[in-house]
Amino acid sequence: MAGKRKKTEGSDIDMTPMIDVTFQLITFFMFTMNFTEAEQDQRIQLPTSQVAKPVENSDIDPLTLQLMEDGRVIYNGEPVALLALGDYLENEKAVMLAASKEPSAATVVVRADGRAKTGEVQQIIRSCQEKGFDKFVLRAEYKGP
Amino acid sequence: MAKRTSKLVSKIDINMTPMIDVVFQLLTFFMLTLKTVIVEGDFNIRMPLGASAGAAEDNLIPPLIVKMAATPEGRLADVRLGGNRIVGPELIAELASADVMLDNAMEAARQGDRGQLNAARRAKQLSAEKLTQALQAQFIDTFGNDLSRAELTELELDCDPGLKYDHVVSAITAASGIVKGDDVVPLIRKIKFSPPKKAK
Repeated sequence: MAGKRKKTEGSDIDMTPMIDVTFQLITFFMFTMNFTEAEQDQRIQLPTSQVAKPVENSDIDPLTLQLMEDGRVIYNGEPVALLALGDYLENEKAVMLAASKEPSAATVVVRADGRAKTGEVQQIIRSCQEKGFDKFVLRAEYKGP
Repeated sequence: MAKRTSKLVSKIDINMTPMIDVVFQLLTFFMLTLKTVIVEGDFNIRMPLGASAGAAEDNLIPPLIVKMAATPEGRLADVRLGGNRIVGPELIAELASADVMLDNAMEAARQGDRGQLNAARRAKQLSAEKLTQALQAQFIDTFGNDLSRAELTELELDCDPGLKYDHVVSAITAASGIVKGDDVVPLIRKIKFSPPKKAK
């Protein structure tokens, strides 16, 4: 009996500081968590710029198209071929028309990889124009001076 | 003495193990899902619908046309503003070597050696900034002392389709604004791509 009690005393470490620190860490990681996952895809390496205007939170949902280095476009988290993009945009347009909005009301955000070809960026813009989208922004990573 | 301590200990003896288990699970989850948020910014480009590109604009100042040519690998070969070459061969060579360096470093990183990656990224960014500054000096030069004209001017980017996109962003950066300390003085607001050439 006495031996047992001794054992308990031996393993009696003060847990309080560790739990404090651990909770601090959890809170930190919770707050730094990125909830806009679809917006920032790790497969894209954005070109950097010193003057890119900070992203303004517009009230309408922008249509984000992300161009990978190999020329495929990430649409809704899935890579699709550039040539097949027209069909997806047709859907997008139908959804907008169903909500009685013109496609030109939506902003198309082009997040293209810095190593991708310019011609492919232009191809994306052209495909969007064919479906009636005409507001475009090019996204870049902000690198302050 | 010993008796008293053991009595106290047995009083507050809660089993912490399950809570600590859960807390560590949570900690691991948040650590693994951590993604650093990159600060991003936008450039507006003006791409109106229809084939009106090239048609008469509502102002009389002719557009600045920047022609960017590419090598077969997609590197910058030549930049011309209204027919004049505006980027020297040294800078072109520097851009190309920074590009090659980054490619090699990326390849090494894939093999597990990440040692050169940061240096290569920095060299790449430095060369891109030099390109931006060189282009910006030329843009400001065309406006002379009257920077207010820049607002009415349209910039047209005529790029080879194979050109790597980050050079285009450097050019857009140069045209969009001048960095003065913490502020950015806006320059050209209307930027567009040239319509694609038919023959290819």
